[in-house]
Amino acid sequence: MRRYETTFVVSPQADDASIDRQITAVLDIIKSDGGQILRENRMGTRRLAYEVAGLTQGFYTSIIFEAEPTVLPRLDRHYKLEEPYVRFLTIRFEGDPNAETHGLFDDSSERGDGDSSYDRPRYGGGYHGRSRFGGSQDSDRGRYHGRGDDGPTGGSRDGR
Amino acid sequence: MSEYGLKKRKKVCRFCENKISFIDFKDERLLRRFTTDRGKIVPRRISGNCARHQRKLTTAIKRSRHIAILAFESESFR
Repeated sequence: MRRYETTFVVSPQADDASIDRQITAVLDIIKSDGGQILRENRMGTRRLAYEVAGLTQGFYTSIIFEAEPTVLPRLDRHYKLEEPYVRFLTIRFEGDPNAETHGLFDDSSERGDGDSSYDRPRYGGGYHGRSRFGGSQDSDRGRYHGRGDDGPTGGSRDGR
Repeated sequence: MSEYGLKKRKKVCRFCENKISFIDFKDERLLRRFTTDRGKIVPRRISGNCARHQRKLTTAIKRSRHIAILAFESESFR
C-alpha cells in the first residue's frame, strides 16, 4: 500500500450534483481493490493560469489515499476517457496528509517587501545595478552570464 | 578589480530553516514567490535555496503549471 495524491480539475459550470458524481467516480475507482481514502479536499473554483478546453475557471479537487499501485493505470484511464476531467495529476505522496498548505514565509522576505514578484535583479553591474553588457531590461543577455572580469567564473568578455 | 567578494550572502535556504520536506504543488502562494513576473522560475542564486529544495521546488512549479495553477509564461508590462 502506497500513498498517493491525485488532483484533478473539472468544469465549474457543471452543477453540484455532476461534480459530486465526478468526484465519487474517482473515489470508487480508488476504493475498488481495497484502497483507502485519507483525505478528500475539494478546493473549489479558481481561475486557471491559462485557458484549458475553452475554460477560464476550474473546480479543483485533490484526494490523498493509500492503495496498491494497480489502481493507478485505472485512474489514469478514467481521467483520460471521461470527458469532464480536463486536467489531472497523480503523484506519490510523501507529505503529511493533514498538513495545511504553507502560506509560510509571511515574514518579510529578505527582498524587503514580501512581495512575491521578483523584480529583475540588477546585479549585473555590481552595486549599481546597471545591466553591464547592454541589452534592455527585458533581455537576458546582460544578466546571468557574460559579466566579464567580475563574473563568478571570470568568464570571457563576449558574453558567453 | 573585483567587488564580487563583498557581495557574498549568507542567505540560508528558507525550506531548510523551516524544516519543510514536502513542497506542495498546489500551494500557489508559496510557489509564486519563486517565480518572476514573467512566470519564470527564480534561480537559486537569487532565491537562496539549497540544491535539494530548489530541485523539489522546480518540480513543484512544473507540476502546478501542468495543472494550470501557475502559468508557463505570463506577460510582463513593458
